[in-house]
Amino acid sequence: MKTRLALVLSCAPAVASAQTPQPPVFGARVESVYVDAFVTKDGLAVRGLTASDFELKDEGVVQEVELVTSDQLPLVAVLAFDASGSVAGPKLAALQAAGGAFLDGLKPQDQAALLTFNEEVRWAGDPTADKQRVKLALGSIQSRGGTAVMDGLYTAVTLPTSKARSLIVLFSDGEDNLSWLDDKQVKAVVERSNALVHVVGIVPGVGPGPELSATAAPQAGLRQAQAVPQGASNVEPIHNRTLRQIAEATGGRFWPSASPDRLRETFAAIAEAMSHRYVLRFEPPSGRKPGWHRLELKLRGKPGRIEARRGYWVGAR
Amino acid sequence: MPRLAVVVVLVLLGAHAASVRAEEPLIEWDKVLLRQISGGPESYPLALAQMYASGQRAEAIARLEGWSEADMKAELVTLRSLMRKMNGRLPEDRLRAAVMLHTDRESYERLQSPVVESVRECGINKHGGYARSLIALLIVQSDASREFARQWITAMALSSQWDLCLDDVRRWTHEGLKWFPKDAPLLLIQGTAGETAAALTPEPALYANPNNRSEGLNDLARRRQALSQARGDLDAALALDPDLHEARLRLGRVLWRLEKANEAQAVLQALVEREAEPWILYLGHLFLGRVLEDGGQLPAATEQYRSALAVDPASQAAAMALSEALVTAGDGDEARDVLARAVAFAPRGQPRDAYMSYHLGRANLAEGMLDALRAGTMR
Repeated sequence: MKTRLALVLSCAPAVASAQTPQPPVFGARVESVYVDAFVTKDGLAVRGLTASDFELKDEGVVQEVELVTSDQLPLVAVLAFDASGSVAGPKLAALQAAGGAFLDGLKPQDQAALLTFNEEVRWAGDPTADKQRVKLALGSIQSRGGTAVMDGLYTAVTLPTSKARSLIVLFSDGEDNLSWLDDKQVKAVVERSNALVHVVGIVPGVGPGPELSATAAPQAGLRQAQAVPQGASNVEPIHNRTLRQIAEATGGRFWPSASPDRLRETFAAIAEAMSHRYVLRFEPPSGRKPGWHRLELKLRGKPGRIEARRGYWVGAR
Repeated sequence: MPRLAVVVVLVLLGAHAASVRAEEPLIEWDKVLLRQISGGPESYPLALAQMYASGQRAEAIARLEGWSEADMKAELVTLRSLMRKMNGRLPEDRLRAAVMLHTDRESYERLQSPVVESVRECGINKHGGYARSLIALLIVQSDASREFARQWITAMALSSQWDLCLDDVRRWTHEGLKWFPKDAPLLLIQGTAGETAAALTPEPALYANPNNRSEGLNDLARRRQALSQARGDLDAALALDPDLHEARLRLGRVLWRLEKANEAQAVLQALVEREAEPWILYLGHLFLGRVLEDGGQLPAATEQYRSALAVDPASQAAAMALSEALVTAGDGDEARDVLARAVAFAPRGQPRDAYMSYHLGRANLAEGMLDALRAGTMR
């Protein structure tokens, strides 16, 4: 059987000036690969970097990269929210408010969609640039039942039909108890997808403090998110660790919120981080073998910490 | 409860017992009872059970307020003494009513929020324990009472399963199997509890951190033990009743969890070829698909997932399974279509996707069974 190559992860059009990127093409030719990079120093976003400040290796081979402005790559933001019984009451109200604020922070050309999950997954409608419509759906969430986080995340990654890149912002307050899919299956699918996943969880004692001003909060939230160690911790709940590992595999993060009433700041911190990310593009050599391709990204001669996806997938068809 | 209140309750009980006696001719049992009572009519055993049986359920349950374990123990001692004096006989109707009275009181004292993810309060408390003691007296009375006891123990085990109080489930099934060692449904319930306990134990592989290694190993050992016990229970249930399809379904799933893929596949394959209830067939195809997928047989797994979805077209679990298999096979378009159709069904309401209630087993039958037993005690 003839093998064709398909980049199904981090693919977007080579022509970045288009308003809406083209879809990944499942064909023999090699597409551009896009990598979102979050660069921080002492918990604060590092700005003003250029393409030459980055060194990107694909399977150990240095690639020539260019920076793409985020305006050229509108997002499809999927809010994937836990609507299980444990989210009832003030927590749900706080989540709705935080989600609304996040939608307000999107650019006009960005699209948004809402997905909720309890024991079942509910898709409120296709992604739309009409954020008000998504807000209305957000306001109608009713919490009940168990928690199928993995099924929800899988759906959020798989379902959007928009051709743009998707940003998944997943909130869950507890462990999965009803998903059909397990974390390994979902991680495999997420890694191969074109999605960037950020996860928000409630972690008492971590996150922005009450003394922070509204303007300082996003950056503080960023610092706190980074305070959660990359490696496994013996105090981190297993369900948070699993979600963190999945998020990090896409270049995203786990964002702890100290309490429900800090959710708004946590979501603002995500929006802030998204606005300060660098989007790198490179064209891998043709004839890529199907399978996982490891990426390494670092700064050239500058201090700072980089969070980015660790590879991309070339599918065989 | 303050002593004064106890006295007031007992006086009221005595008054009620006296009124009942005034309305009905004294039966032999009551005469014997009265001869045993040294402290006056307020000590009349099972008086509240009689009130309960006469239809004053709420009042009888309320009057148990403040009954201590000592009070119940005292009544039990009296009943055992009477039983000896009456050549092993006790009034069955009243004993059954007493069992249901204390069952209801136990439920009342454990009333919880209907929120699914609220913390459940487990354990068998004093009224449940007392009802269990009464069952021991009742079970030897007649075949009818023996059947009552079997139904009651089964209902209590299912009720605990509903709250996922799995240790309690096993307490009830141990009790039941002591009396009814060849009861296939009780073995099925016990096997279900064991499987559920294992399923709710986190996967040991998640304990990658060396700091949690011992915790992970302990969980692994507990999990395997629960699964092995469940396998034994389900094998035993099937040996007693080969047509107990649910036991076959669960056995297949347990074998898969024990990483015995070939055995799991054989058991589940045999199940889907039988004429079973739709929900069992649906889960049989779904579980068989997973066994095949784990074994790298993706096309065969996909077919099983399609069969599951054909049995229950509104199922989200089968849609997730099929969609993921299609993505893995590289067919992203159909994967998306399958998923889109599935989420379009939500929220589906009743009946639920059988996968969602799989860990509850037949726990939804508990209330109906208790209702029937309750109704049987009313005069």
